[in-house]
Amino acid sequence: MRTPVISFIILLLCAFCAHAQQIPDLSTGDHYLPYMTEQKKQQQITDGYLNAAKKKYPQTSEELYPQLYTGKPVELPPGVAGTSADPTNAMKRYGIVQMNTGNRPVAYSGMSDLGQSIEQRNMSTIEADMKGYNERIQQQQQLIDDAMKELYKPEINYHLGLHNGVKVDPFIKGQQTLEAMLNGTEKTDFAKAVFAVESAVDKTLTWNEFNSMLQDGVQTIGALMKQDKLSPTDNLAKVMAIYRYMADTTKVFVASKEKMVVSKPMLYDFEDYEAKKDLTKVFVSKLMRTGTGQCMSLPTLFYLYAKAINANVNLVFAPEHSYITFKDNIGNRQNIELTGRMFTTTDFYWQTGFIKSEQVKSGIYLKPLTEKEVLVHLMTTLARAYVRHSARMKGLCKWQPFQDSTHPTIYLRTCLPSAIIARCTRILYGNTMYSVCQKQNLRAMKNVSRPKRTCTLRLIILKKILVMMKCLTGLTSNGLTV
Amino acid sequence: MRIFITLIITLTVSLNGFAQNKSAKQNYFNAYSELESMLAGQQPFSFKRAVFITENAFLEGQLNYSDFQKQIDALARLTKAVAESDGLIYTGSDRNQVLLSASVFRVMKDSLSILTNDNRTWTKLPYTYDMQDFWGEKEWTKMFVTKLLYDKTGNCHSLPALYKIIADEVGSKTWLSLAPNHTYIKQWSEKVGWYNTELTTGTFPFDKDIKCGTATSSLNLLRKGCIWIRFPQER
Repeated sequence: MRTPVISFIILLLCAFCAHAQQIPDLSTGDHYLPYMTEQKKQQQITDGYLNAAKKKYPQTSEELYPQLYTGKPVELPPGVAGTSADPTNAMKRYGIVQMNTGNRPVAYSGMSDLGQSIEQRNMSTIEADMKGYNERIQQQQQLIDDAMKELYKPEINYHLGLHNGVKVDPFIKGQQTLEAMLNGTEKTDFAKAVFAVESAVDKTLTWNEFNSMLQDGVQTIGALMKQDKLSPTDNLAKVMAIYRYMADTTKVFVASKEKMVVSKPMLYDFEDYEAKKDLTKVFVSKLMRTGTGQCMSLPTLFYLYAKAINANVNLVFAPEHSYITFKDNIGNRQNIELTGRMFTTTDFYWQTGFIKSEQVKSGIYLKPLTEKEVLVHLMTTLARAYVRHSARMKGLCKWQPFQDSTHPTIYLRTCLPSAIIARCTRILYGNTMYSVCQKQNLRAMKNVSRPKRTCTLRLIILKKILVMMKCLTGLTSNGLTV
Repeated sequence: MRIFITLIITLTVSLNGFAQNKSAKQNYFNAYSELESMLAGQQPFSFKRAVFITENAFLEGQLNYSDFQKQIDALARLTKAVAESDGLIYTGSDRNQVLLSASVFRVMKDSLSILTNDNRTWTKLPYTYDMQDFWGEKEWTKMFVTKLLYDKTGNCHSLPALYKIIADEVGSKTWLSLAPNHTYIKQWSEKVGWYNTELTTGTFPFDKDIKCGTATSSLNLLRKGCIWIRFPQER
């Protein structure tokens, strides 16, 4: 009776034990060592790897030739005292043997410390080398520190003679008008501001011509709004009317001209769109004259039209690009890409991949510009135009540009603190230019001594930018981490 | 008599359940107080410890911290060994940092063939993405670093966390970064500035990839004190 019960219990126990046994997991890890835990395996392997990595090379002869040091030292018969056979005279370690200066001829007179051992002398030479190296490093650091100090100095120390001339006057005039608008002494008029910049470079441009071309557009836009029976107080209607005028073929009766006016869409000019050869390619006047523009002139013209009919739009910068943004009636921001004549999302500009989240946060890109920032942008355009112009025309400036500074921004940075250069350059070139400038600047500071400059206007313009940047935009260098 | 027995059984069961419930709650409270003391500065801040505490609270205190530490230690030592073998082409003053972070990345996402003491090769396989239930809807442990260490598969919550833990151990500077429904690693190097490390796919994406891929709103990005795609002020 009891035996089957006991056997049953034993069976149960066996089954239980078998169940409790650890079954190695063969699905992951090593198949060679299934009996070890993953943790142990890792431990063993890393230990082994570390030991292999930490393998030391023999440093003493005892390690190099272990067979020589195994076994007992052979007992030799004692040598004759006072000779080389005497074991007390035998050289055990060559390193600490004293050189016998008395009996040996001196190799050369420069070797003064023959009394020292080889090791000591080696040590002294090494120490001298180390000292020299440290001094050199310190000197280099000092040079760099000086250069950096000079770079971040907020003021300019040297005085330069004033340079006057017929060719420089329009630049001074343009700078003064822009400055007056920025200071608030004059009423902000973007048409005049843009004209001030463009007339300085383009001698053929007159205010009458510029204004009449602009007013033609404004009148046509007004007529379009009337024709479409749009509300003259609606911001969206105004923006759409301007957009239609710039991007579409329109035919409308203009009352002041008493005739039908046909306008063609403004297209992109693919020829020299970066204005490398001809600076007027980026100008609004060129756009209005020829009907083709690029990504700087098209949004600026849109902005001018908007300001003329009191529409509320903003200029925005992307890397080497600018576009228009406005708030629609719901309150969402809409972007107008005038080069392609379409409406885009902000993600469209993100997708280029050149924009970093830091740049957006610090307000470098994709931030709607205020009116004053637009004026400062125009001021930088003027400064850049002047620098470029003066470099082109020989004889205008007495100083010769040094080889390192072929790029206009390098001129800019020679007399401005880096934060302002960054602001200027990022407006013109995008943020990548800033780091390039800084590197070249440092290189220039190290190798090339500063040439004497006799050009003042550049200084005046740039100094003004400096002051205005600081006052108006509240810009600090902290916000411009690349 | 039967009624009495059943009463006793039900009572014990219910009491047992009640006690369990209470202890489970207590686990969370303990974890919370420890995290709070870390934040207050009463206890040394450790990301490793913080991750362990939170996971242990969910698993009702069944994990052992020393076991967890041993696994991390093994990985950290492996990382150091990989760093010693070097092979990085980079010249910059922060070469050491880049080398360390590169070796952490290799340990996480590369197959490493290692020669053991008894002349066997052992292959360390990369940690991959667990495609099943990556939201952790059925099984919340899918989110855990302990699960990742056990299973060698994780998701976008556990993988960057493990990366940060190893990086902290070997002394490489990393910052955990958040995006909607996603976490990833941000790091700084002299050559490229801020860059992102994506552990799920094992790539280094641009900001735009993360921004557009996770549908982060531009407004969210610009808002002050916002958490998305954030970068620290000091490095």
